[in-house]
Amino acid sequence: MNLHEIINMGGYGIYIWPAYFFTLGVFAVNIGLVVHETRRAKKILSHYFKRHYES
Amino acid sequence: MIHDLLYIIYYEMRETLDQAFTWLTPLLFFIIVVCLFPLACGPDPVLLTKMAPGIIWVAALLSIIISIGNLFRTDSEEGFLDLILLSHYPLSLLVFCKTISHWLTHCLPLVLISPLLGFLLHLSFQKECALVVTLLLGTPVLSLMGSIGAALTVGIRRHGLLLPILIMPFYIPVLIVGSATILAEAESVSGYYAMMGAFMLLSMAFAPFLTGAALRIGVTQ
Amino acid sequence: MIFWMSQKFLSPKAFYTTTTHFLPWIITGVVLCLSYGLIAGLFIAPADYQQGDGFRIIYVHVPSAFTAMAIYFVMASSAILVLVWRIKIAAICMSSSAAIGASFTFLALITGSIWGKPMWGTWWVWDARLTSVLILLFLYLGFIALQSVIKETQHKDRAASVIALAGAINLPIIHYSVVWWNTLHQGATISKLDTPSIDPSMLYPLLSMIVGFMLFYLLILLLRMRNQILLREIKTEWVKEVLL
Repeated sequence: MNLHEIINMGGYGIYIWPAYFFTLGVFAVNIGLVVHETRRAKKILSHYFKRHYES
Repeated sequence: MIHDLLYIIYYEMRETLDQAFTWLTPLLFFIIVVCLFPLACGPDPVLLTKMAPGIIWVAALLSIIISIGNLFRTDSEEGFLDLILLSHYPLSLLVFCKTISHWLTHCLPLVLISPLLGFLLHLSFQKECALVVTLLLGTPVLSLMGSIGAALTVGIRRHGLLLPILIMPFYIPVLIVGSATILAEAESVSGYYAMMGAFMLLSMAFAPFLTGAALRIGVTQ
Repeated sequence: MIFWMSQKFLSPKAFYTTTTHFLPWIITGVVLCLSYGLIAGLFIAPADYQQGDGFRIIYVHVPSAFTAMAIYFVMASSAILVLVWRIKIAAICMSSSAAIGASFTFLALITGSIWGKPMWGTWWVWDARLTSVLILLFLYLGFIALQSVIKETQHKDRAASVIALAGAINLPIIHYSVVWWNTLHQGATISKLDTPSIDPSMLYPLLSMIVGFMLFYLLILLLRMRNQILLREIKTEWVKEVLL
């Protein structure tokens, strides 16, 4: 199957690919949220321990 | 015991009816919202007749959801909530009495004035009767489910529109069936009434317990 | 068995240490299931007789809808654990799942709408299943809103549990809405008791995608729960040791 066929998907490509990209987007947002949360948690925890154990 | 519970209902009603503000403003809100729609959508009678059940139901929903937030406010501000929780009566029963008094003071006026508003929206007489009956069956559900939300938000300061957002998903089935009953054909309408009755009985059975549980959670902090 | 599980998962510290080993396996599972599902679903499965290639949206729509409902089921079960037995880890699970569930519900609505346009000719219709999934989204968002307003942890957990449990009534309504009412949405493709009405070459990628979505949910859930555990247990010794 060549690239043109894949993008067209029998005429439904204009519906299929946006749906799959939305899915990818939702997955990416979930992962991004977790990464952001983890970084924020690490920052809070390091501040807490710096304050309580080195002063 | 019945005497005590009736006194609770009477006391709550007296508190609400003392100031015109508490019971009059939700009623006026209901009337004004219904009147907004002919002004916004144009006075075409055909259009208004078709939309009237939905308009009146949505306005009733909005009015009730705004007034139910204050169900436990005076109690929590004046410290009665702890006494209510410590009383030897079952909490769900006391909460049920409060909800009954809320229904009598806030929802019954809506039901009584709805025929007049239906007339303003060019509803036929048959549909107005159906409207009154569905509101009679549906507004207890709205009060009861709203009381769960009121109990959940009782301790939270400045929660804004949280209560409507929490409780609206539970109001949606009642709204759908309630306004569908008015628009239904004569053959199938008894099924719709049965569903409304089922909603009312189910909420009467379960909502007071959930409200009591939510009150206990909110107050022990 | 229950005792072994409670040893490994019940206390926050045990949960944290046990799940550290799971993460690489779950990531592998997600990658494998999703790649097989995507490649087989998009390119290998034959085109449908009635719908042509358009049916391939099923490979994202059905898994996201299934995951959205499964996540709410997990949340409602955790809510029972919180209210009845006051299990802290269940509360953490519940609050971490909410945003993931909301995103999958949103995805289910969007992919369903995109699929509806070529199949039914309309982007949206107010039938029973679509309306009840929309209500599910509102339930998730209301849950998140309630959680964000209450600051005190125990109050937040228990109040949110009440609302999660109250909303659980919506799940059977969504599932059986296509059976009870005459709706535009098609009936169930996969049933527990019947042979599926779908060809195996189309079925296996679908099952693989469903498993992949659920494993992805599990992965994100575990990562979020671990962060929450560290923040909630900040005053304990073992957290200090984990980070240093």
